Formats: sequence, C-alpha cells, structure tokens
Amino acid sequence: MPRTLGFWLAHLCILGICAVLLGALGVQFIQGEFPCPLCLLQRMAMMLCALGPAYVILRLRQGDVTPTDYATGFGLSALAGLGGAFISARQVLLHIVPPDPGFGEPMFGLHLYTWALVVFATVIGMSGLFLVFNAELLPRGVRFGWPSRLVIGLLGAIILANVLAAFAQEGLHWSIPDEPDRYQLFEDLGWSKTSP
Amino acid sequence: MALDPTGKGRENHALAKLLGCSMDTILFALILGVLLSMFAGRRGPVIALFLIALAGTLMWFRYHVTETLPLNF
Repeated sequence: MPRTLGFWLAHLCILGICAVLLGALGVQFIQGEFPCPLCLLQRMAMMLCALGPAYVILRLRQGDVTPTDYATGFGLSALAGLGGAFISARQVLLHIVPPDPGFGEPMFGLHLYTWALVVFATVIGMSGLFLVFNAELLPRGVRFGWPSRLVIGLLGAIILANVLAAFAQEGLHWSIPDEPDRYQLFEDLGWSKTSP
Repeated sequence: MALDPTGKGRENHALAKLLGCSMDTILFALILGVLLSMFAGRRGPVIALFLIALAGTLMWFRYHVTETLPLNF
C-alpha cells in the first residue's frame, strides 16, 4: 500500500517557502521596496530550507526514499533554518529598541524580518517532527510525477529570479549598501532614468 | 541600519570584477547549483555543496555584522 503523507508534506513545505519568497519578490517589484543585505541573506537561508524537502522528492527519481535520504533532507533543512534564524534574530534585535521604526513597511502587523524568524522557527520545528515520525512519513510506492516537477520547477524559477534580481541590484559591486535605493547595474549601464 | 559603516557597498571591488558579479549573486547562483546537483542523485556532492552554500551565507552575514547590538541583557 503506498504511503503518501510524507511525500505530499514535503511538497507542502516547498510551496509554503515559495509563497513567502514570492511575497518578498512582490514587495520588491510591486511595492518597489529594495531588499537590504540582511533581507537577501534571509532569502538565501529560506531557499536552503526548501532544498531539504526538494532533496527528498528528487531522490524518488531513483526509486524509494531510504530513511537516510529522508533524514539527510530534513537535517539539512533544520541546519539552514538555524542559520536563517540567527540572521533574522539579528535584524529583529537591530530594530527592537524604541523609537526605531524598523526597516521597510510592516505586513500584517509585523516586519518582514520578524515573519522570517517565524518561518525559520517553523522550519526547525517541522524538520524535527518529520525526523521523529520518520518511520510513519517515509514515502513508499510513490513516484516523481508532474506535481513534483511543477513544485521543483517553481523553486528553481524563484532561485533564478533572485540570481537575476541580485545581479541587477548590485551589478559589479561587491555588496549592496545598508539602505539600497536603486538597481545599480542599470545605473552603471546608464539605463536608469535617475542617473545623472 | 549601520550594517556597513564603511560605506564601500557601491565601490567596484576587484574580486567582484574578477568574478563578474557581486557576492549575493554568487551565493544565489550557488544555491541554484545545489538544486541542480540534486538531479544527479549522489548524496555526497549534494551535502558538500549545501554546506558550502550555507557556510558562505553565514560568512557573508558575518561580514555584514560590523557593530555590537545596542542591548543590555
């Protein structure tokens, strides 16, 4: 009898993180709010969190997932979640002392870096639960089909979009300033209307 | 925000010129590389690349931390 709960939960984890990353891209391109250096680092950590379940799903291309594969995937996610939590906690603490208004506009009452801390704590907790219930959640009798291709493709597209967005924002400069306000690559190429 | 008080973010860095892009772009590309390496199906290289990407992200975070938090615990 196929065991699919762990398989679909892995997809759900990736979709949840993709939704957050799409929200961040929406804030950048629709609201026109430029991400700060720590915001980019939190995006990286979220992508690394999503790579854990992606590893579990992609192992299905070679047959059934072993307990080692499952533990590897969610262990990697927990490590990335821990790293991401450090980064977002640092940014929360940077702005925690009143009357600091925080960086950027709040969303649903919290700033994006505070939401990121919630996401990383959730990733660590979920990874722990998946590892505890490894025996029950290990996918059996399922194959890598079109839903998996779609989810992995979405994750790949979001990572690629971030590669391009970061390159546009930084160009050939080592890093972005603390409070970025332009796409430096377009500025350097003279394509920006704001360039002198 | 006082992440980079040196204000050198916009300077053309020699290493950035050599590599053809910025550090954030390199790290995002490395993460994309980790995802692509998973298609090969070998566990060792995936773990190694993942840990390199995670270590790179944390070291880049360390680079941005330039001052002590204004907090007393």
